[in-house]
Order: sequence, then C-alpha cells, then structure tokens
Amino acid sequence: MPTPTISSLLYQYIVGGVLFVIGMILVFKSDVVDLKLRRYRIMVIWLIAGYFIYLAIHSFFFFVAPRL
Amino acid sequence: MQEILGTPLDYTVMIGYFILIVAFGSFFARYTRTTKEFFLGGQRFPWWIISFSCVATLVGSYSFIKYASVGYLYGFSSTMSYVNDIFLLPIFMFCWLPVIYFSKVLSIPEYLGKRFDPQTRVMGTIILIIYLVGYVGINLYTLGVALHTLIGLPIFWAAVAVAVFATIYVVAGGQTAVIWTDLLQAFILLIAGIGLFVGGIFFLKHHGGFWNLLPTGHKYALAYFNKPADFNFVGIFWQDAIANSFAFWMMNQGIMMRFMSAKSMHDSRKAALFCILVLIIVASVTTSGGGWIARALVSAGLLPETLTGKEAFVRAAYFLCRPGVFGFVLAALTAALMSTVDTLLNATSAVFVNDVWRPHVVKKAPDRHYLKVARIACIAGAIIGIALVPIFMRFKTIYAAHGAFTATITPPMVVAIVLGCTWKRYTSKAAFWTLLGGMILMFVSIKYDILLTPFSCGIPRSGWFFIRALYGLVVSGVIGVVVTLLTAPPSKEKISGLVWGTEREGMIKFKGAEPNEREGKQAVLRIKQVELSDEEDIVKVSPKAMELMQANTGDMLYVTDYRWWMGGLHSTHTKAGDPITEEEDFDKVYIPKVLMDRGRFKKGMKVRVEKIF
Repeated sequence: MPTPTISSLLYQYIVGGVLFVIGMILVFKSDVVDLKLRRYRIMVIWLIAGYFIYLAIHSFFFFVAPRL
Repeated sequence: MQEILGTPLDYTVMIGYFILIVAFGSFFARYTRTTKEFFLGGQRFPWWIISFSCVATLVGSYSFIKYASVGYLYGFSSTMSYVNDIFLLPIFMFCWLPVIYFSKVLSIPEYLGKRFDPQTRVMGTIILIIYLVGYVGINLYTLGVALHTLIGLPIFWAAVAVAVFATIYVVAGGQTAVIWTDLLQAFILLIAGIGLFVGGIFFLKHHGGFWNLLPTGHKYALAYFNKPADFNFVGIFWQDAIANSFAFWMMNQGIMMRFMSAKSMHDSRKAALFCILVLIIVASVTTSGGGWIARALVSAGLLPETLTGKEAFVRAAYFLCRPGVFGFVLAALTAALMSTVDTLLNATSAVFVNDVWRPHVVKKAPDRHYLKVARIACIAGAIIGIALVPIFMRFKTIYAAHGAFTATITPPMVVAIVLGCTWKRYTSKAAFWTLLGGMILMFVSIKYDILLTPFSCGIPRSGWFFIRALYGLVVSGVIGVVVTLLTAPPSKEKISGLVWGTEREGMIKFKGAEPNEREGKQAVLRIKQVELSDEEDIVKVSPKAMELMQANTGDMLYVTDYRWWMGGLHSTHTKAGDPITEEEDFDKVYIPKVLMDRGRFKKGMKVRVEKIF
C-alpha cells in the first residue's frame, strides 16, 4: 500500500470543513440558539473544539506517530 | 476440516450472557403501557444513556470482523469509517434534532409527510420498510456466519436463536428495553474490545513492543488518497464520512427514535455531542484494536504470516484470552448484533404502525390496539428477517441486491432529509423527484459506471463503487435544487417548526406557550401526593424552588427520581402550577395521583425537579 500523503488530511479537513462551517453558520443564525445562555455557549465551544480535536488526532497520526 | 474455537466454559459464558440480556430486557415490560412508551420510552432518558446505547447500535455484528480485518491489513486508517462524524454534527444537533423533537413526529416518513406531502411519505415508508427488514436479515445472516465460523453452529439456527432472544425483550419492553439493554451491551462491547487491545499491548511488551512491531505504514490514521482501489481515502470519505454518516444519524429510524427518547432537547444534543466527540473514537479502537494486535502478533512471529484479515480478530482474541474470557469476547460479538437488531425491530414496528396501520388500516382506535399491533409487527419483522437468512445463504445475488438497494437509496434520502430540514424554499415536488430521480440515476450508474467518471478522483475503476455515494449526492442535490427553483415555494404555515429557522415556532407548538429559556438549577424535593382540583397534569413547588429553577407557572417541568443512575425510569414531564403557599411544605413537591402513576413515584420519595423550558 502506498504511503499516505498530506492530500488526504487536507481534503478531509477542507471539504469536511466546508460542510462543518455551513453547519456552524446555520447554528449561529438559528432562531433558538442564544449564545448569551451558558448551555448554548458551551455546546458551540465544544463543537468547534471537536473539529480541532479531530484535526489534532489525525495530524498526530500523520506527522508524529509514523516517525516514533 | 473447519477448526472449532472455544471451550465448554466459553459457550457457558455466552449462553449465560444471552439469558442475562433477555431477563434484563424483559424486566422493562412494566415500563411499557402505551405506544409512546413502546416507541419512545416515554421520553424520559438522560443524555448519557442515549449516548452509550447509540454506540451499541452503531457497532454492528460485522464491525469487529470487518474493521479488525481492515486494521490488520492497513493499520490505524481502519478508523476512517468511524472518526469523521464531526463534520455533520452542527447540522444534526441544531437543524435536525429540534425539528424532529419539537414536531413530535414518530418516524422519518411521517416527517416527510408533514414537511412535504402524502406521496413523499408513501415513498419514504416503502423505502424504509424494505431497508429495515432487509437490514435485520443481513445482521442475522452475518452473525450466523460469524458463529458458524467460530463455534460451528449452523448459520440459520444461530440467527434464529439470536433473533428469538432479541424479539422477546423488544416485544416485552419496547424502546425502554432496547435502550437499557443497549447500554449494558455497549459496556460489554467496549470492555471486550478495549480489553483485548490493552491486554495485547501488555502481552507484546515482552515480545518487542506493540509500537515497534507495527509496520510504519500502519501508523497513519488516513489512507493514501486514491489507491488502492479497495481501500483509499477519498472513496471512504464520500461513502462513510458523508453519505453513510448522514444516513446513520438522520435517516436511521432507530437512531431518530433514540434521540426522541431523551428527556429534553438539551439532553438529546448533549448525547449526540458526547457520542461523536468521545464514544465513537473509543468504538473505533474497540472494533479495530483486535486487527492491530493481530498484525503485531504476526510481526512477533506469534501468529502465522498466512493469517487473513477476516481471521484477525478471532485469532488474536483466541490467542490472548484464557478459556471463559474468550466466551466473553464471543458474547461481545453477539452483543453487537443484538443491540443493532433490537433497534431495527423497534424501528420497523414504529414505521409500520405509524405509517401503514394507523393512516391506512385502522385510523381511530384506542392506544392499546396500536400497542398490540406494534408488538405483532416486531414479531413479524423478526420472522421476515429470519426468513431472509436462508435466502441470503442460497442466493448471494439477493444479499448483494440488498446492499445495492441500500447504496442506491442512501444518497437521495440523505439529500431529501438534509435539504428538507435546512432549506425553507425546498418544495414537496422537489423532495419527491429527489427521491425518485436520485434512485433512478443511482440504478443507472450501477448498470453504466461510465457515469461515475467525473467523480472518480483518480480511483482505479474497480474501486468506483466507493465514489457512487458522491455521484448520488451530486445528482440528487442537483435535481432537488433545480425542481425547487422551478416550483412555487411552500407556505410559511406549511413548514412552520419543520425546517431550520422555524425551530422557535416548533418549540411554541410543543409547549403550547412561549418558551422560558432562563437558566435555572434543579430543585431537590420530596413528593407529597395531593388532590389538585382544577387541572391534574401539573405539579406545585414552593416559590423558592420556582426561583431556583427560574420557572414560571405553566412552564414544562421534568420530575425524576433523585438517584441519577435510575436513568429516568421513575420520571414524568408535567407543567408548573401556581406555587405552594403552605410554608411547612416548602421542601415538598405536590403531585396528583395521575402523575404519581405515570411517573411511577412513591409517596415521600426524594426527587429532582427541573425546568425544561
């Protein structure tokens, strides 16, 4: 099997990222999400953090793990 | 001659597990007296139960074998199919969940009917019933094959045994039994899978170390972009990360019912967040770990080089486990099946009662009639599923045909549902043609795969089946957009509460009044049963408790047993009445008899009361 290149990582987080951003725009423009309320704020923070957690996991297993 | 694995102790552990699950599930029969309880468990569950039970449903009977096989052959990139649901999470949590929760629909076809028209609902019903019943059969068949390979049981009778066990507790306890048994089965699955992985790592410490034994190419979490044909990144991205993930979370009737069973919208969202951010990652290690360990065992010379992917999980488990423990791993395999099949049976029954029986056969009858039909439909679903097993065994083309059918319906259904819940302008005609036109074009692409050329992303032709999902999403999306723009938009009244941007209207309809979203805390009180003269579906608490909860008279409240681990089994939704005026009862909550019965409360019981909105 050929060694993976960075194109897989970029594709996942750019194309998937577009979908994620569209979703987040819908969240911010939703008529029920009031970011002044703690419960919505925390969820939105976790959503955004989740994207970066996933990115960090995949980046680790792309840049670091194979060289350990 | 086929080698049979396991010892009598392993089989005893496995049979003991079956008996435990059936007894545990059947216990919940006492919590199922209405169709709402049978299908939605009375909408009483906290987020953590929903989240864990979803993982058990997600991990199917084939998951251990399939993903361990991929993990053995390709390493950590076997997690690609699971670890990618984050992209759809905002749409799922904030567009789809509020729409289905507040509109009180019971099934996907019912949503299609309300959002679009009866024609689209009928099409959705037919598609879903074929999909669900066929899927029951496939799950039974794959487990039958697994048990046959492992312990030599005939495929058909292994499938019958599992189907009978699952049907007994689903018929008895409905959604409550499904959720609680799935919770238990999720723990079994996770403990077995993670235990095997961690145990393997410890064992390999003395043989060179797991990390050193794993080939470098196995340490990448994503595969090469478009090669080889049978395992490449871009194909799996479109098939699993996008099409199948949307299908699992938004088209799967069982999953929809699971999230509707949560005690509140907030719990529903929390369940989704926790499941996708934490549990799915754990589940991916659970299902793939056996394959990674098997690869390291082969590198260490402890398993033969000739080991195939399909054997990886079982051989690694058998090598590492002592007698009895291997039986526990077998139990985890069957847990993976039962937790998927029970969800499918309950879901099939919901679609049948809600979209076939109630609207077309017996329109108005007491609830107990529909409850009886729901139970019969569960049994019928199981019988059809079992009947499909020998057909799948004899005619591999039928098995393949159901796979092709699933692949064909998924992109158009996903597009119709996603556009339906996110785009106000999307019309009924567009939804109908998205489904019909999308499916026709998907069928055509199976016959003439040349249509997939523009979407191939450089994948060798033999692997184009992966990219059919992208093709299906694009053609269905184009049909949906074009027909929408050529037809008149739906009226505001028609889509109220059924699409993003109208969720607030949905909340108002759900509550029957303006929502109160001020953030309060739970009040811990003791029950006092009272006779409330004017209205019975209310409870009364002290002004201080009302202030603590930031609640007003008429707000929706949720009263539940103080013990969190009871998971809402003793609970009910109600409304806040005028505050109590008797000072000596300020630490009490007044509850009328009807709610005492509904919530299964006892006099003097300590409860938590919280405002929903």
